[in-house]
Amino acid sequence: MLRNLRMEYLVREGTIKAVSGVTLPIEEGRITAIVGESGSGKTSLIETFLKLLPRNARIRGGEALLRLSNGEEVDLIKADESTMRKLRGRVVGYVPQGAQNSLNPVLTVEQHFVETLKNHGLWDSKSSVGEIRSALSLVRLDPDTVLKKYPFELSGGMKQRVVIALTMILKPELVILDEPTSALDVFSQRVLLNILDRISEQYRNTMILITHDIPIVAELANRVAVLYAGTVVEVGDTYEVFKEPLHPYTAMLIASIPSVADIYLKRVPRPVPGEPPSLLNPPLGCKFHPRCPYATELCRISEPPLEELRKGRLAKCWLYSRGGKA
Amino acid sequence: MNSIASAKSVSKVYVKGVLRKRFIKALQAVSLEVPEKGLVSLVGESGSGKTTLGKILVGLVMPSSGELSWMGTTVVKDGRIVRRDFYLANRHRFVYVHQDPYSSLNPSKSVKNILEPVVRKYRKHLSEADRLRYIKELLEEVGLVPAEYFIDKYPHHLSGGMRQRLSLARALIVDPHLVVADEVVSMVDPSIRVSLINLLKGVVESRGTSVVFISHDLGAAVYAAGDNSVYVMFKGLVLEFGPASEVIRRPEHPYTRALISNVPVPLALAERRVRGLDGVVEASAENPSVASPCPFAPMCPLVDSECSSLNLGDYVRVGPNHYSLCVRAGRLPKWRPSWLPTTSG
Repeated sequence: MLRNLRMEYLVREGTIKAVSGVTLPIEEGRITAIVGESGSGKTSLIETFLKLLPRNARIRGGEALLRLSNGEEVDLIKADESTMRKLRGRVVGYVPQGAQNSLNPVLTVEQHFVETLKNHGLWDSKSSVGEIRSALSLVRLDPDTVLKKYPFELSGGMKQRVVIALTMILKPELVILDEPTSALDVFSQRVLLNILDRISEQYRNTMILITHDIPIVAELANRVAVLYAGTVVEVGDTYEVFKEPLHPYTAMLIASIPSVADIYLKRVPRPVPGEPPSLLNPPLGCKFHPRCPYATELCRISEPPLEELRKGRLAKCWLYSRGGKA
Repeated sequence: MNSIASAKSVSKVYVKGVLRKRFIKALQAVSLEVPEKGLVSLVGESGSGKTTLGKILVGLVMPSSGELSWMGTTVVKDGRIVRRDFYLANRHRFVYVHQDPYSSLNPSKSVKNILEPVVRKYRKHLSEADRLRYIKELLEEVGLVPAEYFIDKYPHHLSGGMRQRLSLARALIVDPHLVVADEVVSMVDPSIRVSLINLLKGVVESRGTSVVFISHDLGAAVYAAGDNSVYVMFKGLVLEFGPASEVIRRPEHPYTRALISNVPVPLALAERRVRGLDGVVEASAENPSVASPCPFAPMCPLVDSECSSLNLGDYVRVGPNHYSLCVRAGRLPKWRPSWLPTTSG
């Protein structure tokens, strides 16, 4: 659960409001996708959550609550670095963007696993070998052929799967995947989607998927949160959000994707006018109003709240808010 | 229909290594025609040879064998320029727009200074005032409006989409015969992609410039092509080509079918969620290896002994302007995309 999280980057020209008041409930045991365009603050949000921020970043407030398996709730924003170190990996697994490039080129796949386990104090000469093998099978890699290989001998998709196996071997309760499917070809993407789906079914762990790829979200995630200019504009069950998007941005974003299925069914994609705003100098009021066909005077001066319109369905728009005129 | 650029059976072999030479076949016997005032889409995974083909079309890369013609005149044959005078006189009108708008623009120059030297070189008759007016018109044409606002901006002020518009503006100064747009939308925000593709389509329409649109995204490639042709590439070969709507609705190559079946599709949502790879067998599986020149054979679920008789370059006609490189094209089993709801289509 994220509550009113705010983070800025200090740059020469001023402050970049990368995360401006994000409130986002994350349901346990399900896959939540965070969708947004580049610069919408997806990665910044996760880096704030994990406190893996660069030195020019400042957290300006809010809470990032994580419920542990023993029922205890930790606010990661308040937690010190030693607590964070204990949580990262063991409790929260993170597969960063371009994970296929994060393997050490001079270590074999086996050495990666051994090192990871030893670093977390989990190495056990008897049981670990078996665990490594089952972690690899989980991501549909053949342990006999892969273990002794170096990263350069594997394809991009296989490396990606090795990194996911490395994350999963620590049995985290929450797994965060940042753009796991970009840079993969269609077939490797499909294999990966199946694997993630199976992991989620087997382990019942919570997953957060960060992506700009709408069709991927629609297939894999149970819940979806749409991010625009550093704020969450809509949250809901994937099926409902795609069937009946509430926020104008969500609707326009979905309609703008030239997906193969839409073209097959002879639907014409419609572009979203304008450009995403600069976070150095975001517009007043609702951040989407300069591109929104329904914008009113109210939208220009005042930012709407993220409100629960019906169970599990949140939107941040004056069109629905009780404070505004519908 | 006259072609503005055409490649006839071009191949490209890259040699890697000095002592132990390795040969990489980037393209094998590929033929392609870019019609005058038309748009052609190339779609394929990374490593399928689409960029190499694009660069050959504009004369940036010399093919190892095969022929390249511009406006009906053969300029390159068997790896050598055969009409040097014609090549030199025309090559500036065959332009290439790069994938990465963050590295293709000089960060220390303003928009005006990026465009002006090109205008000065190729539009010598313009006075200084006219040059400025011309640059403004150009910016308006590519949708960077108001032009006065953009003209003194630097690339770091611009988003990815705006940078691609600027790159295109720069390419249009020479009144190109052909623009090869290589993955121009892949580094651009999704909500901007369609408007960028529409801009390219507009350039074809209003200027009569031919465009080759290269993408790894089947949806984008097919949308860009519209009624024009799409070429589906895999491992240095064109496996299928034809009018985009035909290729996507009635694909006659197992690779194209697998591609369409496996793209993530929002529609599938209502039907079923979990699906395995459809129309593809994993390469190392029990699939009996058939010695076939077809690069898709190791993954093809329909592979059989007939496949060994395939001759690269022998396309089977499966419809008007629609060709497939599969020996069994036209005799393949009936097919519909696995994600298609049974009630429609």
